[in-house]
Amino acid sequence: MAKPTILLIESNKILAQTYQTALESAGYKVDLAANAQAAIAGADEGRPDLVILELELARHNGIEFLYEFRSYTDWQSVPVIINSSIKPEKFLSSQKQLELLGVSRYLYKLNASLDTLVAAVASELEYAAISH
Amino acid sequence: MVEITDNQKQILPQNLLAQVAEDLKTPLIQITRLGELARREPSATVTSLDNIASASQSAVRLLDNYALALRLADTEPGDLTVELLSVRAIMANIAHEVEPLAASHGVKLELVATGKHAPVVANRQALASALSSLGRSLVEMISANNSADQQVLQLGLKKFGAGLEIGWYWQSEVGVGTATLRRGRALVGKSRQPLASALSSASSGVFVADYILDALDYHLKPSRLANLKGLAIRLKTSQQLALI
Repeated sequence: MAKPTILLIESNKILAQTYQTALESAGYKVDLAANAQAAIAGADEGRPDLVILELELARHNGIEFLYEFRSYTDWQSVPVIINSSIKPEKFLSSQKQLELLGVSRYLYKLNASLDTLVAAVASELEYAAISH
Repeated sequence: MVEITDNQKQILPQNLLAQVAEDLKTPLIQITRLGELARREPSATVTSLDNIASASQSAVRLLDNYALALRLADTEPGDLTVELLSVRAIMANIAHEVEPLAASHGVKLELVATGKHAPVVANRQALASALSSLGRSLVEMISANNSADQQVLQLGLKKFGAGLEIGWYWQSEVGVGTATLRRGRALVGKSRQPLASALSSASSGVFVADYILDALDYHLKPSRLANLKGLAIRLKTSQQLALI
């Protein structure tokens, strides 16, 4: 059975490689993208089953990526987990926006361990499989 | 040349501290996650420990450079100790210091300093700290802006008029131009990403360098070296020694 593919959008190379190693050892295939443009190209090529997204990216931020990502029919139901260094309460005014963009979960990087991230991915993929 | 305004100098400590505090989160998160990875994946322990060391050093350097910027802001220019400096020797030391960080981010450092150059008169610690602070920020910037396996960051030196221009240069569509730098200075401490068009984070190192240089009466400026964009400092050389 093919491994689920995760698109990890993270501009910090060290963190990206750390998350990638943890997720790959948990049984996933992980494609990395350092910015929004590379992420769109990566999604087109890799057909992700789930996206992990940092909101703070260079030039175009994560929200801009999400708007573009969700504009494609093929990607409208792909689960998205935000894993960001921005505190979730900073987005209180944009909770509705995150729901509309189909964000499944919001993890605050400072608090979210590797175990938390891996468990979140497993949970969201399982839910997505049941829902479709 | 894009100088720091008097108003910006007055609010330096608070704004720059806010920016530095924000940027310190990154190495601290790195250290925590790398530690977790080392426990989960014994095969990744050596790499994790190397990256932990690099992240720790980045955090400590950022704090040291910030503290230096504060001390210099309180120092009268006439009270600064200055000496004759070989710019090439300083460049070699900086490249050596920044190299581990660059390697951990997949960035290749190159030193470009051809020809003979007269010494400059400056405060050694301040000039070295400014270049180091700037270089570290730019390593993270070009690493974050590019998904390609290896990027190149050059520490370059060239003649400029009667003096020298020393700076960091990289290949990218995105540079840090005069307008970006000016806007960034106004946003220090107020925005998570003062140089958002160029840097996703870690920009406090650029502004720490900026304020250190201002104390030396030098200023960061956008620059080019061959086909590379960059940020550089113009230094006056000691013409008397050049004649000897």
